Amino acid sequence: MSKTTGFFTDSTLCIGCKACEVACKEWNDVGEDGLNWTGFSYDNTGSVGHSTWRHVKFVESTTVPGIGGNAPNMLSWEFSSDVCKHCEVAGCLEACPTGALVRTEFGGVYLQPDVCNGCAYCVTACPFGVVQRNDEDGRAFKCTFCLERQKFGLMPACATACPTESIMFGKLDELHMRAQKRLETLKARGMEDAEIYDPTHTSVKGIHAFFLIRGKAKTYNLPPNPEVPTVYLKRGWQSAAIGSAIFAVGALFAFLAGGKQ
Amino acid sequence: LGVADVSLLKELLSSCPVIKQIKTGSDGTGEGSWTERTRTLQPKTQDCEVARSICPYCAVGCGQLVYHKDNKLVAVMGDPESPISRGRLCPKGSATYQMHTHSGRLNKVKYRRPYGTAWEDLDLDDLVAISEDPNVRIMESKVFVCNVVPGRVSDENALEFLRQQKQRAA
Repeated sequence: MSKTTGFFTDSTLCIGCKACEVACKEWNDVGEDGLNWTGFSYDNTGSVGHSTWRHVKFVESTTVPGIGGNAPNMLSWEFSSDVCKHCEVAGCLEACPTGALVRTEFGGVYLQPDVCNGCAYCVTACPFGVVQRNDEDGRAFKCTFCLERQKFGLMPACATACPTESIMFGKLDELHMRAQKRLETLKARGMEDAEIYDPTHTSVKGIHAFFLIRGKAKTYNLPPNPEVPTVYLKRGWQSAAIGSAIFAVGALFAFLAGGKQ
Repeated sequence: LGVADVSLLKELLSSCPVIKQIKTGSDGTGEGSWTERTRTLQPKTQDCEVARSICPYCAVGCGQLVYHKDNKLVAVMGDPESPISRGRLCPKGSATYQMHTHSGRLNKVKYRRPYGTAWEDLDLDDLVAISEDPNVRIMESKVFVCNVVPGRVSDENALEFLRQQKQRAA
C-alpha cells in the first residue's frame, strides 16, 4: 500500500470552531496575523496565507428547506476548513527555482525554510492561492503537512485537535473510500448537492487534501478548474514564439524590400 | 593541479544541483533536494517529559498532555486516552500553551494592605500564601482577593483544590 497520506475535510461536519487554526499555530509557532474583524461572516483570518495555514471558511447562502436542520427562512451557514491542497502536480513545486519546495516521502509538498530565498515564484504559481510571502521575514510559507509529526507517526496538529473529526487524516486511498461512503450516506439523506472536490480532470491531477462540500466549489472559494501554470503557460509561450517569428519575418521582408528601392 | 585541488573541485561540482540532478536522474523536486534539516526533522515534543493534565478552561474537562523539557513548557496537546475528549481540544483548549507563555500574561497581582492607601505589586506565590493562611479570614480581615481560578482543577492536586474552595468560600 502506498505511503501517501492525505486530508479529507468533510465540511458537512465542520462546526467552524477554528480549533484547527489554533492548534496549527500553536504547534508550528506561526505568529498572529492581525486580530482583524473582517465583517465577512465570522471570519477573522480571511484566507490561507503565510501565517494562516488552516483557515476556516464561513459560507453563507440560501438553503434548501428541510435539509441540514435549517429553518426555511434562515440562511444556511456552512463551514469548511481550508488548507494547502498538496497537489498531485503542484504548481509551486514546478515553479520553485531553488529546490526549496520538495515532494516528501508522504506525498506532501514541503517548503524547506532553510533553502527558500523568497523569490515568490511559488506564490503566483499556486492555483489555489495558498503560498504567501512573509514580507517581514522575506521567505514564503505554507502548510508543512506537519512533516515532522508524520515522520514520527503522529497526526498533523489540525487533524489531532478537530473535535468533530471534520478533518480526517490517513492513507490517501483509504480516505478516498471513506469519502465515497460518506457521500453516499449524505445523498441517501437527501443532500443531493453534496459532492467531493478533487479536481482530477485538470492539470493538477488531483489533490491530497480534498473536501466534501455542498453545492458549487465556487461558493467555497475553491476554483472549479485549477490549472498548473507550467502546463497552461505553454500555450502562452507558443503564441509568443509564433508572434515573434511573424515579426522577425516581417522585419526581414521590410529590410530586403527597402534595399531594392 | 594537486590531488587535493582535484578532490575539492569534485566535491564542489557534486554539490551543484544541476549535476546532482543529472547524476540521480531526478527532477529536483524529490528526495535529492531534501536538505539535512528536512531529513532529520523531529517533532518538538520528542525527548520531552509528559504530564497528564486537564484543560483549565470550561467544565467539560478535556484531557491534556503537557509536554515539558528542562522545566520549560514545550507544548500542550489533547490526551487521546481521555474518555471525555479522546484527544480533541477546542480552540481555547488548543491555545493552552499560550495561556502560560504569552507575553501579555499577568504574573503579578495588585495588592492593597489592610488600612493601606496605595496598591503594591505582589508575586503570585505571596498571594497564594496569604489566601492559604488559616489565620486570614479573607472577608473579616478586609483582605480582598480577586483572582481567577479555573472551573476545573487543572492538576488535581490537593493544594489547588483547597485554594479553589477557599476562593469560592471567600
